[in-house]
Amino acid sequence: MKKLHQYMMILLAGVLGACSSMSVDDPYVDSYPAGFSALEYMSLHPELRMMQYRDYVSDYNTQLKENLGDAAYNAQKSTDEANLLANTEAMQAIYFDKYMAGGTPEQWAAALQEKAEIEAAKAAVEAAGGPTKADSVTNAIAGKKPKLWNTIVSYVTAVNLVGVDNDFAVLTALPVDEDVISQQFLMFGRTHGWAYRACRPDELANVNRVDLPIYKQQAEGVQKAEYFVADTNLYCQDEAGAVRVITQ
Amino acid sequence: MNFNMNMRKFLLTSALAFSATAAFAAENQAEVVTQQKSLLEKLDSLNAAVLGLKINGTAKAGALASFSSSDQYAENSPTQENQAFTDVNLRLTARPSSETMIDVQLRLHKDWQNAYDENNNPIIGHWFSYDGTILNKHVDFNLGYMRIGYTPLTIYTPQTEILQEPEIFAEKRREALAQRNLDTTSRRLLQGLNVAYQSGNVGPVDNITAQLTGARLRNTAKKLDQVFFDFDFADRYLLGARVGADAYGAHLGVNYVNLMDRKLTTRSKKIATTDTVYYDKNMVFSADLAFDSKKILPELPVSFGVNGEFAMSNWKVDRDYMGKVPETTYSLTQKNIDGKEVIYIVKSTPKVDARINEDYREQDGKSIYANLFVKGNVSGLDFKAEAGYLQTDSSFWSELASSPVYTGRATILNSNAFYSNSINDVILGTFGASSLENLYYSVYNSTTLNANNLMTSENLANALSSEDESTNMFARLDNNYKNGHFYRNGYTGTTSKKLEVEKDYLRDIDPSVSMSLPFGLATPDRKGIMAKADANWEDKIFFNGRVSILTQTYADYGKWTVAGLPVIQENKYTEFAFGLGADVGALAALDRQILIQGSFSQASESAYLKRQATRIVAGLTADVWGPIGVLAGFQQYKKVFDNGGVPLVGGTEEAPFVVNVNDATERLIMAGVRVKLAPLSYLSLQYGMLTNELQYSYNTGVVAGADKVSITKNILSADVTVNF
Repeated sequence: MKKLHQYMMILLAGVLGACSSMSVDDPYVDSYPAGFSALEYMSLHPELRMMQYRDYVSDYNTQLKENLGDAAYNAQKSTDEANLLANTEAMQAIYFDKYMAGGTPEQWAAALQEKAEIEAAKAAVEAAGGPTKADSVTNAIAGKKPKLWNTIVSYVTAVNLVGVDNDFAVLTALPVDEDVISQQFLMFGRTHGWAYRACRPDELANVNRVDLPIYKQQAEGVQKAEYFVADTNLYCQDEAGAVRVITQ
Repeated sequence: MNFNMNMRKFLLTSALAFSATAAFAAENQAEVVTQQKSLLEKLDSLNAAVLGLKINGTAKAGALASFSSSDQYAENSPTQENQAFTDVNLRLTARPSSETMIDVQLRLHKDWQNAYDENNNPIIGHWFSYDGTILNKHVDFNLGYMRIGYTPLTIYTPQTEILQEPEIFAEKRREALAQRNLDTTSRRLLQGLNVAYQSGNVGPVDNITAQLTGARLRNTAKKLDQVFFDFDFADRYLLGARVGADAYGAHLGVNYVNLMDRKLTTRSKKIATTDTVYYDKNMVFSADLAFDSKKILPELPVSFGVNGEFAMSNWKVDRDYMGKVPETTYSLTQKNIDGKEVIYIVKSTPKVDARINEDYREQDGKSIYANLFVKGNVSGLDFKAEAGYLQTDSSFWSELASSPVYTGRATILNSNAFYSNSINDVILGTFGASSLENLYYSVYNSTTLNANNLMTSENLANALSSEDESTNMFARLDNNYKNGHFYRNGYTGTTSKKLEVEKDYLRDIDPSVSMSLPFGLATPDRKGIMAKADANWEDKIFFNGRVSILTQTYADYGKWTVAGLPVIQENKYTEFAFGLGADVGALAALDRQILIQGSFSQASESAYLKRQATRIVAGLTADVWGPIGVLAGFQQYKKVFDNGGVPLVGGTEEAPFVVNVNDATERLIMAGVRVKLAPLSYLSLQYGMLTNELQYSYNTGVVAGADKVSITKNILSADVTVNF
């Protein structure tokens, strides 16, 4: 009887042991491809981070607007923007940041040049006392808008926290919301063939996504959501920006 | 029916009769009595052990007419109420073996007053239990309805004690209690499972006991739609356990009681944004100690001893209400930046409606009492005297020990009467009708459900808040073969949670249970001494005496004032009572009982409402001639509220008025004849006169003054009761 009791206890312990498990299944983690990293995905698609900055700034400014009232806010906003645009260093910090605008010094120089040309032409037209028939080229340039520069301004003002002087420092200190970055891959990026990591050396010769039928199919677009065909491949991105199939 | 068993019973009865006759010849009469007694006990136990199905019960056919008169009644108010009924209580006991028994009690009730309204009259089951004594009589169990008592601080029922209560009153009270499945014991009516173990002798220990009780408590009537007066659909459970040991005349026990509301059942139903649901949890842990010298000094005619208990309680309430909590949602968003479409995810945390749970109140408290007693039998005088000390924290709470079965304040008879003056309506509606009416009268009706008494709710998901009647109501009425029990009864078996008790301060108006200890020994915030003595001289002369002086530290008079701000006072209660009874028949050596009884009791308090309650009781129970007995009783109960009266507010919200009831004088005279028609069958004719006079002052804002409401009820009843 005593032995039986002992055996029963051992059996019980065995059953309990067999039924238990130390591993923790997380369906959330399981749905990502191996080696997925939100930060790496973000660095391949910096616009995801950019949207975080912009939403943050927009929320901040809306709140400020509610607190200050429209008139006071608008006044402060125009001063603040004027200060920022007068500060080349601050502008460049934002514009050259990969996640805020992703601009290059070349783009910056081109924009400056275009702006300078337009301003020079304007000055010339003004010096001549108005548009003259003789110089149609100058007239045309003077009538243009500095498109490249305006783009830079729009990038920079989009992340301008009104009433804050060191916008760049504040924004870079914002923690990355990895959650929404990863979710984006699950909900959109994966089915639309977004690369999720950099290509390894042995993958550089893999098929480029643009050569696959799915690329054309998705690029054409569809009329209804249910006609959409999801991309079932996984992709990496090489240094040149080409998106290549990962062979499993 | 088991024929063989009946045969055996018959044979044994004959044997008993024979032996009894033979024994009469013997010289020693006392021995004959003992022999007879033991034979009767044997017969009883044999009877109880009859296997198979047995039907017992009572059948009662009767009529009651109550004629009420009052100067304050409106001119067209009804003044008469009639009840004519046949009520059959069937008790079916089935014994599959000698150890266990199934007990089902059924009630068939026919009200002749509305006999033509009924399309049928169903049998109503009011008691279901499976009980037994198993495992060689070591284990007792109850499953279903049961009456359980632990100790005065854990599971207990505080009862009204009226010294030398005449038989004519006591019987009425038992009847009213029985309609609610209650009795006069201090055990509590519960439903669930109870298991008790008795070890018997183990070495020097006389007995070791262990008991486990699980029960479901009130909170639930019907969960949906058809709602009968009880709107709380949460489950509430009791888990109780105790162990104890007896040795050398001493007893030591440990008791534990835990009551809790089950949250999941409540949360399965929606609540409205304005609702708040409270969850109550009450835990009591106690140790009880008793000693009786009888065991170690059996040769002495007098024994002495002590009993006491120490308890610790925890009471905790948390609550659910609807509030706003942030909930994270993700949404795919498309934006165009520089001509390039970016699809990204926006995380937002809007605030949504959700149940929020928060702790509301929590209290820990202690209680202790100890009594010393002396009892014995000296030359035919049986006596017991005890004195004790009680101290209970104001934060102590033990729900199952604190809920009396008497609630009172209902209008039992002539409830259809109405008054010409709205002040009187308010008084009778809040202050309530007389406590003597509540103690001794009850009306039980089995009525077809109709649009007036079928309560329904429109909102299936939320019966708690919705006051609209269900759209199904008329469909239900068209095809309604349902009868409902309707009681007008001053007793209830349900327990009250502490929050309910705190809200219901009107219960202090009727101190019929006890002014100083309305919740029994477990009444919170009491400190003082109590003593009592009972004596019985050869069942001929009876004496009882009671005295207690108790102090309450935090009596809050403020809740009675209009402002409602706390006014904390120390309140001292003084209570005393004595009763005397004499069986004149036995004293004069007649062969019949002529019992004359009387008692006087008074309770008063020094602060708070400055109540004073005085009760005078007198009664006669006499066998007159042959099968005819006469029963009579008189009782006067006077309540005075000396602190400006009990302020009651009536009228509308815009034009309220205040009435202060200063004193209430109630009188009940009952007299009747009981005729024994056959063994266990009685015809009873009774007359009762109930008067209730309430003195009050009022201030309507326009006029102020003093007045009274005085009601007299003459009650005639006749019934035939057959026990079988």
